[in-house]
Amino acid sequence: MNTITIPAAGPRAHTPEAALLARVAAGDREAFTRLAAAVTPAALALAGRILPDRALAEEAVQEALIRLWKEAGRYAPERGAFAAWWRRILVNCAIDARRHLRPVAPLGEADHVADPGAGPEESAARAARARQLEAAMRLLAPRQRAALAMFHGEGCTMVEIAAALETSEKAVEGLLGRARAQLRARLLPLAEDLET
Amino acid sequence: MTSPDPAHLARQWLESFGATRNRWPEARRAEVEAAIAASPELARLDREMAALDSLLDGWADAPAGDAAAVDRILRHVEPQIVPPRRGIGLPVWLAGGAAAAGVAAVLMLAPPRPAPAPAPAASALAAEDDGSVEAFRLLFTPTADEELAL
Repeated sequence: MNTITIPAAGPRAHTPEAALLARVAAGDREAFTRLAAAVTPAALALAGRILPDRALAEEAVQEALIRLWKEAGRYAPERGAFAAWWRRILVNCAIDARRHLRPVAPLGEADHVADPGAGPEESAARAARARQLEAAMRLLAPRQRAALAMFHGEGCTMVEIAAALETSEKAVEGLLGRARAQLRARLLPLAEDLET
Repeated sequence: MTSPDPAHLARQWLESFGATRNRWPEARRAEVEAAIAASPELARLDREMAALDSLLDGWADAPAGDAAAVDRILRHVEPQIVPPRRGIGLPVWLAGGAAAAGVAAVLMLAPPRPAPAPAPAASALAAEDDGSVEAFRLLFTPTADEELAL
């Protein structure tokens, strides 16, 4: 994520992002543009892990930014950090977008994962693994995939994931466990085949 | 409530958090590692989960949004950002109260309506029969056959 160095202004400004958000809440479009530019790259990466399609991920980030603009006045720094507040908005938008998808969709876009510097056999094997992983991921429930994205992709703690999904840490543990069990059942036999 | 034994905890953690040790809760980590080392079954689960972690780590390395995508998103969002409308500065409750007071004032100052004329009695209607009452009866009173059908 881009770093923002803006002097804190006002009682709500605990972080540079929170300072910008306070200005956004007052209708400052320039502050919104700066904040949006700072948070969008990382937001797109997280949305891209939750959603199987880059175009959908972009739409989810757009929706989340519009919500950020509309709901900036509801952010209360004493109830949590800006990052957690923003993550919850983004993850909700991505989960909503994911719910509108059919469970199984074409897998063509997984091909781009292949490393162009690798040999043809290695590239083919990587592309195959990426396709299998994506196919298995598509079968997960939206909240399971979101939990995996935050745990493995973002390195979030259980507390942070629970806050983003508005649930308990125990429930997050359950989401991760069920997601991993499904992936294990689908992927590990294939991984053994690829190794042999 | 008693805490689960280390072997049970090892299975739970491996299944939910994977085999990467620094993703486990710090409390009881050493106990759990010892339980895995002591059990061939848990050691096998540990290897399987490490293989799954390796697949997931590749998936998690997805690049952050490229500059073109970020630009596309910001360009799409920008026109939808409309500064909040500024009213005349009155809070909602005060504006509502002013509207209610206005309506009350109009009601109080409006000239009183004349009282409606009393409705004619039914007997008066019968007394002024000009044939229309009879025609009405003829049209809407069912005959004996019609009553049977009903």
